[in-house]
Amino acid sequence: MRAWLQLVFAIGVEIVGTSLLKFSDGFTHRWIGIAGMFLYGLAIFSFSLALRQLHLSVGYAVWAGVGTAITGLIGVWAFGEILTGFKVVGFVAIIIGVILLNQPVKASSPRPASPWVQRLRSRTSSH
Amino acid sequence: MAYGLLFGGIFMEVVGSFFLKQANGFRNLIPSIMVLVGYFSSLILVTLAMQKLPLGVTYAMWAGLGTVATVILAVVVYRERLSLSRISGLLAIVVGVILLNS
Repeated sequence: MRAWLQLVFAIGVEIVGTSLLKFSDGFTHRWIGIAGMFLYGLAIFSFSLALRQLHLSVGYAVWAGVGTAITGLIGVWAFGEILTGFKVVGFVAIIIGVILLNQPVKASSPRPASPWVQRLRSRTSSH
Repeated sequence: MAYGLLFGGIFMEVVGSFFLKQANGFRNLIPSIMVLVGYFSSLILVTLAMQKLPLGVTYAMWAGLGTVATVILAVVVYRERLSLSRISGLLAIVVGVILLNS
């Protein structure tokens, strides 16, 4: 649970950070740009904490997906971008994706190692 | 040239993701530095690319290809498992990212 909170925090902070970077207008407004970079680094740090529990593929996909979705929402609400059918389907797809990634993976049947790994194991084992 | 910046950015993103596991929540110094180097240079490269290329497509490629490449990295290097629901979830997110930027 804590990992998911750290991930959500990372996503939120990243969005604020990259927004500040955009407002800095290519670092024309220097301090806004620096603040943006600091927040971006903070987001990465929180993401790394979350990854101590979450799998990299899950964490990264959720970060990219939810970050894109929220940025899209901000575009529509705050900047008057048009909510196209594509976008609605896109939001839904991301939500579905996050739910699917949240499903526990059964650890029952171990995946057989690739042949070269098996050969390596038999060579290095002390039978 | 602009596409070179974009693909360079995606590559640096994967570099950052690669060192995240070793960084262990930023406990290990050198991997942590590499994580920041990877992700920040990715941000810079992609931002530069976005000045020349259409915004939405560039972002979709960055996020979409970045996610796919990171998943491949996670499976090949870190031996993460991919169940059917996980593969579907990853596909759904990549599709969603692309649609949101169309």
